[in-house]
Amino acid sequence: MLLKPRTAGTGDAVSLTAGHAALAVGIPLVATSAGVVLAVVAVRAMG
Amino acid sequence: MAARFSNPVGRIAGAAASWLLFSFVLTGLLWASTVVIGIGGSCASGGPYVNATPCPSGVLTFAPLGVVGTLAAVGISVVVAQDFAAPLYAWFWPLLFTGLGVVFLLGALSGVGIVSNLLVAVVALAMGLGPLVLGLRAGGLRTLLVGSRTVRGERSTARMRAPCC
Repeated sequence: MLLKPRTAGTGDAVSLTAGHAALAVGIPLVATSAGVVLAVVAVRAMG
Repeated sequence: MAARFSNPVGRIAGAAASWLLFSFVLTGLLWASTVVIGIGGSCASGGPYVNATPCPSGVLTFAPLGVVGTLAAVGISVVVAQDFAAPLYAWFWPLLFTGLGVVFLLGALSGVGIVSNLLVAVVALAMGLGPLVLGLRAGGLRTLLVGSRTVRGERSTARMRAPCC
């Protein structure tokens, strides 16, 4: 019987690529910077 | 409800929205704390009496917003981001209390209510850094930085590899 290589599915552990790691760290980092800038602008606007 | 967001777009949007909201409300809360410490440690607004120290309008907005907004951000992280990217539910407590600890420490150093501010600062820093150390020991730095699932929802191993190999 011919066995097909099994493809990874949900629940399987996969190795983390550098691209994914950059995305996973970069998104919170950019969002956090934007949040801080927005808050400083809001605080200054309120006086 | 979480199943509705079980796609890469949902996870990316959830991670971005939760961190954006959290950093916004935390910055406001820390600013409000700094202002209140600067005017003597307490203020009040409203009521039938004349308040000795009225609260600045920004404090009235950002102090309650900090509490409600933090909980909302953690909810977005858990339900929408679903373990993708730096997990806010593991970070919000250390960031909140370490931030407050630093604010109270700066208050003590500026000479306002030195003993009480120092006492609160030590307690807040311990409350912030303790869980961070426990989280690092339990999940590891990599999980705290990139989460435990990929953008497609697959469980990621701790070992990282280059995209080429």
